[in-house]
Amino acid sequence: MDDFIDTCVIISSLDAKDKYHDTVNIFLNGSENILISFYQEQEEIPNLFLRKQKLFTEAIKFYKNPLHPVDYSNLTDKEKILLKTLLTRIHLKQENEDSLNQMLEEVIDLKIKVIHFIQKRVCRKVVPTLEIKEELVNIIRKHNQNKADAKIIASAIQEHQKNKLIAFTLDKNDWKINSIKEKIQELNYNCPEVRFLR
Amino acid sequence: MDNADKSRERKTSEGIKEAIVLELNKGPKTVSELSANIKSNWITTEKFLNELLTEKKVIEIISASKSKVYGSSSDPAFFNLPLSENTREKTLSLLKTIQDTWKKETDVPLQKTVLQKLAVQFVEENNLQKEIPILRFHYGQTLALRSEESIETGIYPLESNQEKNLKNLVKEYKSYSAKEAKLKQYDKPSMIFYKAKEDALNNLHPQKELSKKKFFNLLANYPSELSESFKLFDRFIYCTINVLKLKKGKEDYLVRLKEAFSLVWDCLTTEAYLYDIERNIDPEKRELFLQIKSNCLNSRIMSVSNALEEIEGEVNNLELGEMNTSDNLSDFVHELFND
Repeated sequence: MDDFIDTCVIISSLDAKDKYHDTVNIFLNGSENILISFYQEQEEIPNLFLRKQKLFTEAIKFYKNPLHPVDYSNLTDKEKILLKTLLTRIHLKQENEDSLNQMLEEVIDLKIKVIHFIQKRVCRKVVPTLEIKEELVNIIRKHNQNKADAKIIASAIQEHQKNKLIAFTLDKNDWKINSIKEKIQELNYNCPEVRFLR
Repeated sequence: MDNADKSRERKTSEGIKEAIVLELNKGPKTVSELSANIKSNWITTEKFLNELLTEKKVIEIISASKSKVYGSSSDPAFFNLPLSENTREKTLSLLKTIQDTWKKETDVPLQKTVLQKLAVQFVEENNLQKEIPILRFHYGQTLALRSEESIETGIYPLESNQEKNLKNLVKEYKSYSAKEAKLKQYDKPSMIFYKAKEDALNNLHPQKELSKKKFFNLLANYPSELSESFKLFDRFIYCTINVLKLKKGKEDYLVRLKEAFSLVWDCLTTEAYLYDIERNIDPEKRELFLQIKSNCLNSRIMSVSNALEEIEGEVNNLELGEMNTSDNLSDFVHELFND
């Protein structure tokens, strides 16, 4: 049976400060067939890093010019809050250009580590992005507003029809598919088991 | 057919071809538009257009079988864009007036870059931007058209204070090389991204300290409206920062990084030019503009993306142990990724 992993599992395995870091790494070390979707590799992960980088580039612009109109577009609610926190810290002179550059560099470091993880640990990428079934994504989105997660879950479900898998995540909010299991089955899809590594 | 008839026919043919080129020097057109403007029938117009295409005096801008659009190889508008007539006339006449004033004031030859930089400063100092647009392009700000001696144009009417201002600018710019004129422009606050690019690129040299800070500065100053080129730019920054993190051997990548950057820069400054020019497009030709824009950008994005793929692949295959990477995330970055 293959192990399909959510992106947060990869991030947790690379962040020693994450409270599930050890558990996740124990799981990954014991896993031989790790899968992710093409959608994660080609769209979700690049967009995730673009948003995080944007947060710091906006903060650096604000540091250099406090009149800079900060652009919050495309950021998630949490990222918007964290950007505001960072701007306050800049205002209070708790951050400077070097510290902001340092954090931006950490984001770039994490990105190359994620790419390495995918190259070295992931044995297969599944479901070409254009083949993700819109009907499935729509049902999942009725329950879970996050479109990226909906596409990843849809990819896992589609792959499960061909090769049995278990999906692993740390996300207890967006990956609970039990309540829509029946609707998914009405579309003739079997749901894979979802396990939470927390 | 006797010689006199042949000569008359040749003259007529040449005349028609000249009329076609003159029309296309005013902007791109379809066969129907050309045929109406030069008062020749469709078949004759198309026949001579094909001859001009063979002679490379005319180019096909849009090649769709039912709606081909042609442009002149000597059209002074970059990318043969369908600029409004007013923008064309005012810009070309100002460039001509500057050239004439330059010739009267100095024997120093006027380089194209210097002409454009001087013209930009003149337009800004005299608040003429509404009729003579200033646009970002590969080497900084420029006017919408290049100066072409083969294009006949009138003189831009200058008021006495403008005339004085122009003479002063000529006095100043005659001592500048093209590079100096360019760098002078980059010192303006509005050109901070270009200045950051110059600093970052000069830094990509084995004799320099190879500082990552200059590339963070470049990234932080990226103009957010240039969204189509951003992913390419970001990929370049990613490769560069990771190369600069190498414990040894980073010098081996510098030439290729510079080559990749020149392609990325070509793409993003083309996007900047097309973004800035949009409001000066002839409203009736907006659809054509969008087609030219899409052709220009898509082909560039594709080729830059392919060029980046190779160096990106190498960077992604570097061993983490070869690089100075941080082992632990700071509290803030940890929080940022901890959804």
